[in-house]
Amino acid sequence: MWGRIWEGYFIYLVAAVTFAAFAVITPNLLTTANLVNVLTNAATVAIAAAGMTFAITAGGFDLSIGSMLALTTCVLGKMVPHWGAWGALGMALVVGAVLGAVNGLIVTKLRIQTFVATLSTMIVYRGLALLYTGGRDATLYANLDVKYFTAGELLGVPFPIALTVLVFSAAFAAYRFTPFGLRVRAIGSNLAAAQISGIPVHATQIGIFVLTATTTVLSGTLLTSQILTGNGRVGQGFELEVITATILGGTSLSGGRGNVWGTLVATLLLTIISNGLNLLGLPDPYQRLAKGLIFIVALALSSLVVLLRERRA
Amino acid sequence: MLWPRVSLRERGILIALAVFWAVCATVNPLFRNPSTYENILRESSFVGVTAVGMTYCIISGDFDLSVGSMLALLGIACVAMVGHTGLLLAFVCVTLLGATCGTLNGFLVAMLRIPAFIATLGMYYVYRALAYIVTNGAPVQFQEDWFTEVGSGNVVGIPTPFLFLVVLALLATYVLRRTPFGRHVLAIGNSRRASEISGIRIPRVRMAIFAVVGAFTGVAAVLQSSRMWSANSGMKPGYEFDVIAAVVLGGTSLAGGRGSVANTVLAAMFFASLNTAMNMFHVESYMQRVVIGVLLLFAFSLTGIRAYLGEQLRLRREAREALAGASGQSQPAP
Repeated sequence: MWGRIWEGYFIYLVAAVTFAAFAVITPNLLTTANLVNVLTNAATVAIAAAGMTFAITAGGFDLSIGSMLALTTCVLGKMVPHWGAWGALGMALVVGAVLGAVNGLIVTKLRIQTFVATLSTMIVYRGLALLYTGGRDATLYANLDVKYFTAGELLGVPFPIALTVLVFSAAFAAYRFTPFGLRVRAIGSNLAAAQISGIPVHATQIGIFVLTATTTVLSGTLLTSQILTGNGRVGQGFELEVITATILGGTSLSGGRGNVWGTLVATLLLTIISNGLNLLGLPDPYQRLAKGLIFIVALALSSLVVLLRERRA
Repeated sequence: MLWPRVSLRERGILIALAVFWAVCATVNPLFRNPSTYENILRESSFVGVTAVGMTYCIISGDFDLSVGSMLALLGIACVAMVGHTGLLLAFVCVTLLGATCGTLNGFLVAMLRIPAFIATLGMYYVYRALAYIVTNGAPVQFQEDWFTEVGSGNVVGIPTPFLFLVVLALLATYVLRRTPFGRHVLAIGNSRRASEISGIRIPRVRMAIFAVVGAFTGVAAVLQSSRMWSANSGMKPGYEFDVIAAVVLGGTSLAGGRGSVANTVLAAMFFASLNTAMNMFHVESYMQRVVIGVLLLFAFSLTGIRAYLGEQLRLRREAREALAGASGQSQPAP
């Protein structure tokens, strides 16, 4: 029993300790401006990670989200001047949903493992993003209405933070209280059993890919609003950050058990780490190394827990 | 026998390559020039060598996504070393270093039981970051003209890297078909459970397979850095996809258990031909990525489609037999 509690709350403890440690060694971490900055930066990864939590809970993956992030910035970069920020967002959402459905159809109808399928579409989607913009930047410096997505406020709260709270509340509700959430968990726990008990496995899987794509479009919108540029090269390695956050948050790679709030806390933890390393002046490659190592160590720890439990049993 | 089953399935990639060359040679006179083929053979080697190692990995049911970053790191090591140590020692050191990196990957996968694609995805970032840190992001170059012969030279008219590829592929085929280690690789890919019961030490074999992938990547790194006259931390982005694509297009099943090194080599040649052709026909570079991605999807779905068709045929046969059995039983009853 203690093991389960430990497993569930481990991430919160680590986050609290890390936050405290960085607050002590870096002088500027605790300023309001920096904290808002941390939360805004976390939002981009967190929102996509909310979708990824469903994918990993169902025992799958989506590696193509980095490319979809790039494509979103390109669509916004091209479309905002013609259709305004909200119109362009609507279009990006439609594009995202279609690409997600394509992923889902490839996995379910062509029977390719999610890993290799999304690996291939990762190449294709980035190719599309680069083709669409011709490999050039589509800048939005003249269209400052798109700035609302980072600098604006919703009910007095900065928009990215409000959006993150909204997305995670919805994700938690969907995960815990809806038939969709139940089906996702059932597929992840035991695919064969889910199939036999009449769960529409294919439709649910396609739904999951549409969900990861949609949340990625929202993330991409925040990113575009920050960099005011559409570029087919952004977001390389984004999928790794998102998957890291999801797994670190306690969602099991073997499927069936997800933790929506854990994902959010883990994202905050990772953002605090990179923010703290930034404030301490560590160069970028060392940060990437640190992130890769944290990823490996987190995975090693979580699989060690499983190994130990098996040995005891 | 080195090629045990000769069926259409086994020869698919050979036929595809022959047809592709025939079509290109008909349409484009440049494709009738022997130097084009020399170039294709050379370019296919840099992917092919690693793909030969990766064939083992995929046959055993694993993956290694970190080969591209390893290539950069090992290439940098090779360029830094070759002027001081001479060719042979540099070659041995880089190959051993590759095997060490591979063993580390294997340890994460086989001992700590982290799923292969996740563990190697993490190592992909670690190796790239290391490559960046040791070079500070700047390309490293060598001054020794003789070293370019390894990647750019010819021996009796055949590109040197392709000779490396052929020798390594023959060796790998022999090991896969004729030695206990090769049998273990195939057995693990066919059924983990059965191999465990029959006493194969699975973690050890899997670690060895990752070490093999690392060592082959080391050889590829020597060839590639010699060809490029330099190495840098960002070299060959997407290399791991090219390698896995070659293995899968060569008919090695993603489900594990079967595959052919020779077909992997042919598939690497096919991709090199495709790239050459797309350049000759002036296909835009971004469009090339889309084409390759779609081709990959097609190659990946072959396994699934084949399984689906096989299942349908089996069901139909079983239904027919059940029908025949039922009518056979009903006759002697009265």
